[in-house]
Amino acid sequence: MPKLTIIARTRDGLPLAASMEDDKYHRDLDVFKNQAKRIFKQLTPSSPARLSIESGSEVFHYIIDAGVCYLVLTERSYPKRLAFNYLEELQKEFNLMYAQEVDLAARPYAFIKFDAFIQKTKKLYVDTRAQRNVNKLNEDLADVQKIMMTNIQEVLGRGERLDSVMKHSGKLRDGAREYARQAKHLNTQMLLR
Amino acid sequence: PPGSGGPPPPPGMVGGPPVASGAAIGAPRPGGYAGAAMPLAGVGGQPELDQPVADRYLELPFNTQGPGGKGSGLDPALAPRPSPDEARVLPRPDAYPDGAIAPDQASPRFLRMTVNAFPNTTATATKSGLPFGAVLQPLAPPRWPGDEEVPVVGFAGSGVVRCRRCRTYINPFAQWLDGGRRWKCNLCYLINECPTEYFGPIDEYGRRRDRDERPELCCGTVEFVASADYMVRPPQPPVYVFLVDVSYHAVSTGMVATVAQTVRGVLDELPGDVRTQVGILAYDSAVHFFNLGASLSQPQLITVPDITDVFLPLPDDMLVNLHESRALVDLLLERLPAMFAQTQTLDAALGPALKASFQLMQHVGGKLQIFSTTLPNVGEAKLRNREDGRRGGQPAGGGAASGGKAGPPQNNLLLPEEGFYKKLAVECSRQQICVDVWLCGAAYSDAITLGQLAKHTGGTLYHFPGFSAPRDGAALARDLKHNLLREQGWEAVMRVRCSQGVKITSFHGHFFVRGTDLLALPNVDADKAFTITFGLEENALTSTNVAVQAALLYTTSTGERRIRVQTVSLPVIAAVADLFKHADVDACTTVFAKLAAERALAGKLQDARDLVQARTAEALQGFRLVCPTEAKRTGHMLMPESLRLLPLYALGLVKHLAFKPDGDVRADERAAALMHLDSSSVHSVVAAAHPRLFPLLLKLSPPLGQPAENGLTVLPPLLPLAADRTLANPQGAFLLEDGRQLLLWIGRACPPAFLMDVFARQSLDDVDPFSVELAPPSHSEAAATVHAVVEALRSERPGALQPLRVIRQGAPEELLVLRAMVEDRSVSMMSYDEFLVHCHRTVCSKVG
Repeated sequence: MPKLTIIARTRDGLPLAASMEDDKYHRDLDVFKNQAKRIFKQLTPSSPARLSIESGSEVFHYIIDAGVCYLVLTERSYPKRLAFNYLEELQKEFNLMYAQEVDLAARPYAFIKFDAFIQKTKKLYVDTRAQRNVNKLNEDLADVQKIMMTNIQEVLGRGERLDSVMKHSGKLRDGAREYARQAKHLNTQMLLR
Repeated sequence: PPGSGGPPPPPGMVGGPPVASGAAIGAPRPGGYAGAAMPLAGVGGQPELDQPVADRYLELPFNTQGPGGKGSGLDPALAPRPSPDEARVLPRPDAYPDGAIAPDQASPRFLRMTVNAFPNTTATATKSGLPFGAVLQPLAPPRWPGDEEVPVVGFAGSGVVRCRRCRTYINPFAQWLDGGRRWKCNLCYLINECPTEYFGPIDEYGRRRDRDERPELCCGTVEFVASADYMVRPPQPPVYVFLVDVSYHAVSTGMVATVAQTVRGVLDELPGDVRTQVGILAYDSAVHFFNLGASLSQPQLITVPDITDVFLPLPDDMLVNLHESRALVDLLLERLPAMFAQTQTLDAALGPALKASFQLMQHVGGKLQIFSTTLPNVGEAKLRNREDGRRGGQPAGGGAASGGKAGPPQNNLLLPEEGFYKKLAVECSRQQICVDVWLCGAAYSDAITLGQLAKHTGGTLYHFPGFSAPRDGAALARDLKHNLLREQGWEAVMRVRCSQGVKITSFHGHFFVRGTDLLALPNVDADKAFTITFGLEENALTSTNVAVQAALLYTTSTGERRIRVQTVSLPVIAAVADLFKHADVDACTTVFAKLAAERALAGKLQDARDLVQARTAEALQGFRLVCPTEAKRTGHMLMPESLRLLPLYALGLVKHLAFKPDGDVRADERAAALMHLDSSSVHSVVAAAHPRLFPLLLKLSPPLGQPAENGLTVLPPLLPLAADRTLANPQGAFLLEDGRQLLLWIGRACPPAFLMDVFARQSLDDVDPFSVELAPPSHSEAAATVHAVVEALRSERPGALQPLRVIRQGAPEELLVLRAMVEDRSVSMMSYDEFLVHCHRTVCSKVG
């Protein structure tokens, strides 16, 4: 079942809406929340529009549409097809209601009202054996296989590597600056002598 | 009243030599503010020598040769009493630095300091005898004309600008350096880099040029839009869970019906738009749940009779989205009273029911409203009637003797009994659940124990002793409606920071302290106030100013996360006489009340009264010390002008229901009064200590009841709270306002013309005084004026709804009016003039 749903802006990772987890049995979602935050931070225009990311016993699925990323956390055993169906449903409604305002949003969770819709939709997707969901599963078995599957370490690792490159370049820049300053100082000293 | 007027000293004389001449009553000579220009006093180790003397003081002469024995020798007419504006608890501008309330300081609406200055050393503070503290009411509603909306600031790129070390928020008193590239924190003095997105040039005075466009740089009270860093989860929706007692007494008194009807009436107005969630539970000997799933056609009752280990019978659909299940919630509330109409059970399993409610909402938090009529008597956490055999009406000490049982002294009824409630409250606080407790029982309800639920979760304890729907229904409905609809903040925390050298020594109010100084407030509302007291570190304060900053992080009902920040920067003063100029009598009274409430709630009622009296005498003593020698004659009481009302208010406090000696106060009543004082604002505390009494037998016509030039309504003149000078007149009619209710006292021989004008009745002989209503405003000019006055008094207290009650002279309810007569002598308490003499003697015995 969908455990954690977050909608964020791709440009800066600003969260726009999310479900209040009413999952009484999973109170240790903090690790996954942090991972979700980091996933949003890594999104670039070249990120794949649909992706599944494994993380331990759980899987993140996301779709990106019109600058907005819809992300859900489910168990590994939860059908991928349903997860993406769920995200598509959210995306359609969200697009309809808020597409114009996404760019202007200045504060986090500006569209938190949307969580009422998320809750409602989520309920439909809890039971994988419900007739409605079985039908969905049968509709098209093929196309979801095209969606890439990757691992959380890979996604976040790439970020870490980027971070280290940034750090190195920062160090280089500082070094150069220091060099220039000292050179100038030496020059002045020379002049004074 | 003597000495009330007098022009404030002209500002701008800072640094002038202190003027050491005495001034007679009513003719104060303007003097200079020595202010911070005396930094040397106290540093050299002989502070006594360097204190400048007070240049303005108030003298109260006692006639020592007067008739001894009963007479105090003080002319009662000379005793200080509040002026109409003072009784409105308006802040005095000349108590503020430079004699004005500056906009870059936090508005007194939200933050009132007892003294608008800081002493330079602990020795100075002790010598003055003044309380140093502050009362915070972070969501205070606008009350007076000119109370503005709080400006909201969003930091787009830079994030909220804060000090790197002490986490102080950027404020008008931060110092800009280095052309605006850096700023110096005014609390810990660390120099911070200014984020590039926030950079702005500074002018020749070292101020930001864009100062006036940025509220956070020019207003003492601002609100910041919190970024995602300030959220551990998405902002929570407003959640309301109602836990209703449906045992025999609850149903038969009409409590259930009143609650159901009121809640039903406000469903459409509940804040939160489409996100609001509602859950309803009931309990008697079992716990009753209701399935409100949107797909049902009508609500389903699920009763769990097993109260030893209560569980939720359904995984969800018991706490539902109001928007989706609106019809079902409505239907349930309509049927609830009838559903249990036939009940005969006298049992109340509150403990298990509370556990069930906790399970129901722990994942999201919110407000839990408990309506209880029957003392919890089955299941976990049952309580016993501790007041048994020691009911009110007996003098102190007599209670324990009766019935042969060696019961504990009455005081211990103020100590909570069962640990369950406090433990649950702490657990609730952690899950962002705020509990309001509504006690409606006629018998002992152990308010103090059940009140723990409210105390530690930022909630309120309401007490309607012997609730009956015809009499109290309207009042409960009004309070409940206000409770649900007032401005409130969800999942809040508050932290107060002070400049180096100043520390916070205590917190008072309804909250739970997380860590050492973080106040956890699952819910904070417009009426709640929090009080802190300050102390100084060992070293003398060397800076010229000390800042205090209070920040409340909360979620609005519409799901926005905000930080409301209040900052004040106050001068550091070495001269005791100058500290008194900056004192605020209303805030001082409030701090005394909170300190006393803390003692009383620790079971030491006598200590509480002693504390108020001793602290009052200490302040007067501190002032007498710095008065010029020629003024210190034995028969002359000396008072600072700023605190001339302190003795009266202190006397009012010790005579208040919460503190007065045992006997005619029931334990529940006292507990409720204490809890109320503990969490209420400056306005409510002062009104409780000194209610306002207005005469009504006068020309009831405009301008009375109309707004004056300053925007405040013109009220009738104030009368002293002394029965022999007011209520002794059986022809009179008076209006008493104590911040919680309006009592209209009608004398036995009140002229029929007045009754005709105001009530459209010849006499009030054959009607129930509680149900009498005023004639409509259109009836007569007098009726219109009384309506206008009542409305004005109500609008001055947005938090309290002040029902109007008519009380006839000689009726049993007259006690309500009589016990507000603070100036009178009572069985065990002094009259006002006696108290003044007592204070004076105490002071003289110490300083001569």
